[in-house]
Amino acid sequence: MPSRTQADSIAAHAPGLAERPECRSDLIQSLVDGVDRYNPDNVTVFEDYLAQQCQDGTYDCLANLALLKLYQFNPHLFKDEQCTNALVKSLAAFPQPDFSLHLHLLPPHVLVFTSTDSLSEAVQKLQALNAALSSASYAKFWEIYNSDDLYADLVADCAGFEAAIRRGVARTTAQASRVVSKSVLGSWTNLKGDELENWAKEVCGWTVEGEEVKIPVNKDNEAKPTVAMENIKLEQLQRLIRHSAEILCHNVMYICTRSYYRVTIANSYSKPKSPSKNKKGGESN
Amino acid sequence: MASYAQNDFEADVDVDGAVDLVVGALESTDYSEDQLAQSYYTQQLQQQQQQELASIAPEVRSLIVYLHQAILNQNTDAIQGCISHFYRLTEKFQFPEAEIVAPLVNDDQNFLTIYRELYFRNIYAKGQPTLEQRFRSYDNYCDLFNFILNSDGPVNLDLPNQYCDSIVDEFVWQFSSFAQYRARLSKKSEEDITILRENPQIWSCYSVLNVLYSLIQKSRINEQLAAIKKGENPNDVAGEYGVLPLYRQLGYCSLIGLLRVHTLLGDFTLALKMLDNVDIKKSPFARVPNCHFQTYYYQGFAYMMLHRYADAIESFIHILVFISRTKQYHNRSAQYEQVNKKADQVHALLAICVALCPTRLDENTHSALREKFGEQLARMSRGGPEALPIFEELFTFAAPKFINPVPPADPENVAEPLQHHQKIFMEGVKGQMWAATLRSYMKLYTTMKLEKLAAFLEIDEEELRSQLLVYKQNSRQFRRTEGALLNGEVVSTSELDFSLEGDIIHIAEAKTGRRYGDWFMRNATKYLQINEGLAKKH
Repeated sequence: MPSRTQADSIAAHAPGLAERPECRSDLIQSLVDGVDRYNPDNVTVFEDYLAQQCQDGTYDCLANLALLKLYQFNPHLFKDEQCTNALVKSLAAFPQPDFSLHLHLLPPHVLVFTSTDSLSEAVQKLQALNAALSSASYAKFWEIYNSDDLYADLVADCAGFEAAIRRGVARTTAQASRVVSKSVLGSWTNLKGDELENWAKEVCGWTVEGEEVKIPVNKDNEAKPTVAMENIKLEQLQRLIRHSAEILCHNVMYICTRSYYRVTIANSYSKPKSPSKNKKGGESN
Repeated sequence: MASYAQNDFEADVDVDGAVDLVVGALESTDYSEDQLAQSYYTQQLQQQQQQELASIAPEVRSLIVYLHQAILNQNTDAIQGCISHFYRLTEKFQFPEAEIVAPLVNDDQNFLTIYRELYFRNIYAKGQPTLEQRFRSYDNYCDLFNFILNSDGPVNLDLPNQYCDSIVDEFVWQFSSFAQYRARLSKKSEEDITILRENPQIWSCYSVLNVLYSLIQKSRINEQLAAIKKGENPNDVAGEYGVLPLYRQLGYCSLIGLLRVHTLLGDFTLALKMLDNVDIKKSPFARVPNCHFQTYYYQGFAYMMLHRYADAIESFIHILVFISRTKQYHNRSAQYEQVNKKADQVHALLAICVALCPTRLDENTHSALREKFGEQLARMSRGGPEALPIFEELFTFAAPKFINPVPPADPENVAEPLQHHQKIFMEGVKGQMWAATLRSYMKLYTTMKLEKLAAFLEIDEEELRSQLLVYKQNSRQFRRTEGALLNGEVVSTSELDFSLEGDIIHIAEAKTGRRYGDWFMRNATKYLQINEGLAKKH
């Protein structure tokens, strides 16, 4: 049964980098936060953690970046396979720029020159996949992915890679659309027929009606015209009010003292000549 | 020279007797000759030193003596005055080496270390330092930081804040200069290449990071900043080193130094993590303008590389406003030029970010931006493939000078880190090229058929669907509201929103109502002032 919360969770944005993923142990957290992340002896800790992520289908961006940074400082420890695994994991985090963050930590020759060694070739091929994902050309993604056997090798270690990509596609689609046709969705997820329907219903929580797939309303896919009214807070007016209050008090005091004098002066004369009783302001002395 | 000295020596001393005595006392004749030669050499050196001491310009000599006195008296204002005067004098005079100056300051080694730091700063500023000078400068920094960090207990030194900041700043700068120097191996002599290879620890990444982290840990600056945030007294957690202003300021500047180093190495998330405890808007340590500027520039740049353009724009605007407000204090020519150049770089980055994430800017910033990069901004905002070279050009102009942490593997084929990072950045930009055109069409309609818009844009429907998804993604960004810099919530950054229903696009615009609050208050206070003025006159 498609459930509301499932659809919401599919459409939810990926958590930011500041949030600690559930799979991260305290040991890894202390490494990521502290100075021990630079210790080359800890490289195996990060590598084992990455291997675990590949097995479980979990993902921890900051820890993998820490591993790449250790490789950056200690090139003799660099392992091609670990590097490509980290990159493959980060692909599925689209549209967050995780993949490019990983790229920034690689040795420059990998991207700048045309590929001559297997690492550069692998990285540049993965970059082609990333380009397709970040420009939302999902049909092209599957085309590239299926065109070269190298990709199968690169993602072999990462369990659930295709499922993760499809979840990413579901996320971006759910944020932008209310209705999408089956054929379009099929080309975007490389699924057809019953497989596609089941995926849309079970995994995403959407409803399928004939040739169309309906996505429930979430906070991103409803286009409602809004008018943002200005919200003036009391603090902003504080100074103004205080100032006006001061002037008001000042004026009231002035009036009171003036009228007091007027009354006393009037009383000091035995014959009140003209009742100068204008107690309001506007008197000139 | 040697023969003349020989004659001199022989003429002065009764040679036979002296030599006999010496030979008799020692075991081998070789040794005695060496000893003699050495005492000669020292005599010559002393003479030379005295000559050189005499040849120092009197202004320089008096400055050095005055600086020494100021440091001994811990008179921070005088020290700062000396440093400014030092910069002025370096334009006219050549500052002598520390050994020559030693007699003037009674051989105060600690002062000489400080002096040497200034001396090498001068050499770096004047031109290309040699490999030997770079190595010596590094050794001097080691001595200086050893003195500050590893003496028994905190040192009895009080330096002005700006000077502390400039020490760390220069240290990081010389490190990045060395990294770039090391990368250009192909033009070096064999000898230099061998020396470099045999001394990997000099100016290595690990040693630089070690210094910065040690300063941070010793001064417990992170704990102090966390305490300030909570409203507690930082001195309670500062430890015996951190309570002293020298350590506190050095600790803070090291945080900013790390922010810089990590950005130069391409690790933007770690760079932002360094500022976890820093509340830059309220930080009491950020009174040094250069430090303040560096913080915002690198922070904004890191945000930009993380595709958090809204946060980047906020950082850049903040520093631009700061620069424009403090411009009147930078009226000395050299500093003014430097500040201007940096401001230009920030404007360029701001232009890039505004093109990628259109935001309403305030009057002053907008007009300054239009003045400097108006044309580029227009072309970038229009999008399309012609805009890409402009992005590249501005990126190259404004980006920091990226470095490689290790020597290049292949000295013949050196890949520039700047190119590497620029390429990655441009890949990100390429995906967003249609955003501006999409926006301009979508503004005109509330509903539109996909095929119609595709026809307008002259692309096929499939591609348009993708572009719409990209547009939606770009309009949802992480934006920091409070707390650590990497935190954030997803907010909408575009006024135009849409929803796809099959083949129909529903478009909605988020309008902002007329903002009258600010205008109202400004005019009300002005009226009040006028009123008061009138009242006073009567």
